[in-house]
Amino acid sequence: MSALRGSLTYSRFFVTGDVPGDLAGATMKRIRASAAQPLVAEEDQNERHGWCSIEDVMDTDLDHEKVFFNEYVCLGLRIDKWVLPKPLLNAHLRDAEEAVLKQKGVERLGKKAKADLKLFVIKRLRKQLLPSTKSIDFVWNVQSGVARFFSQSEKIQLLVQELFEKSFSLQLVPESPGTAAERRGLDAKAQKFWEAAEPTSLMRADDDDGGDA
Amino acid sequence: MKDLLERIEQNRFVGREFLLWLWFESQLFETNLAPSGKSSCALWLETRLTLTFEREESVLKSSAPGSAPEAREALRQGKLPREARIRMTTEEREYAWTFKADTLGLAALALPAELTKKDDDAHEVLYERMRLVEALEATLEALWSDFLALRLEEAWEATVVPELDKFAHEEDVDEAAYTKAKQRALAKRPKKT
Repeated sequence: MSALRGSLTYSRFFVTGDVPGDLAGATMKRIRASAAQPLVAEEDQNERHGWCSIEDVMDTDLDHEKVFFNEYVCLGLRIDKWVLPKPLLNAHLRDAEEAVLKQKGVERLGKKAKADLKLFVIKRLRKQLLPSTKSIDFVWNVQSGVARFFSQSEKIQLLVQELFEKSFSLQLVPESPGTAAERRGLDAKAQKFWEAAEPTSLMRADDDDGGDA
Repeated sequence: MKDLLERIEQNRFVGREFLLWLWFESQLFETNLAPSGKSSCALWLETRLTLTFEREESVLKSSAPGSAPEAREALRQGKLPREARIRMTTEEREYAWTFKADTLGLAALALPAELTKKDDDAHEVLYERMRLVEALEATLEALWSDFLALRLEEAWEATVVPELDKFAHEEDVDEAAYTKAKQRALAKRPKKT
């Protein structure tokens, strides 16, 4: 999911809103405030995201040089997530449950006690593991207003849209046939055709619908 | 102004029609396309073509899926192309990518080989890659703009759809009639200020 190497898979966005003249000066503080923070085993949070350097996923100490490449704003969306293997979690949970039952001298645990125990086991296991970390590049050409985010996952796109809005106070509008048509600036007649458009079908009434394709 | 979500979702099928039109023009003009205001390009479908109608899908894998009889058969079943691997050469540069019609998205985009000689400076690599991506997108936007001028005109129903219908049914397309209708639609397009 890199802008810098390999083949490219990305989603296009158009930035709307008033871009400040001194973009770096106006936004650097907010970008830094939205930089990725490491996950903490003791906290309930299972996933966390924020900005990182486009060149190094572990570099979250962002400055002008790392973010502003001439007319491009370059950032990585870093996503950290705890990934506990299910068999491992189940085995530890079973052991912990047996220990608690023995300690309390009861035959079964209530629903809330089970949930609390699971959270306790999860947090204990996290201390023995490292969270999974990935970064997805985001490149915004400030002059053209086009931003490219190197993922086509709708779920991850929502994260970058939200973070971008928070950092830049601008909106990312996703590319689609609808927004691409709108950007062309349709006149009244074209707009009327657009509103009335129906999908084209090349099937004739006498076409056999039982073909091989 | 309409709700953003509505603007994004409205007429997603037009992306499939755009891909159909690219395919049609590529076949009709033997891969030679002439986007308005840009250098001409050679564009063709290769290796994979997916056509869809509701939940029905046809996936064609061959070196030239756009020429396969099964592709036309799928069109005759009411399917439209949803995804295709495309190759394009323009100004001595060659690109290949998977075009996703519903979002106008580009995936697995292979850039021209000139990049391999670049050094390790991340800034230089980024500028070079973005320059190539933006050049490709400019050509695609010009093609989209031409398509839209045609799609949002009487000529679409009167001339283009009948010719697309012949294309689907492997009948002779009236190249002269289509070209004339296209030229008229493009000439009527309001000039951008």
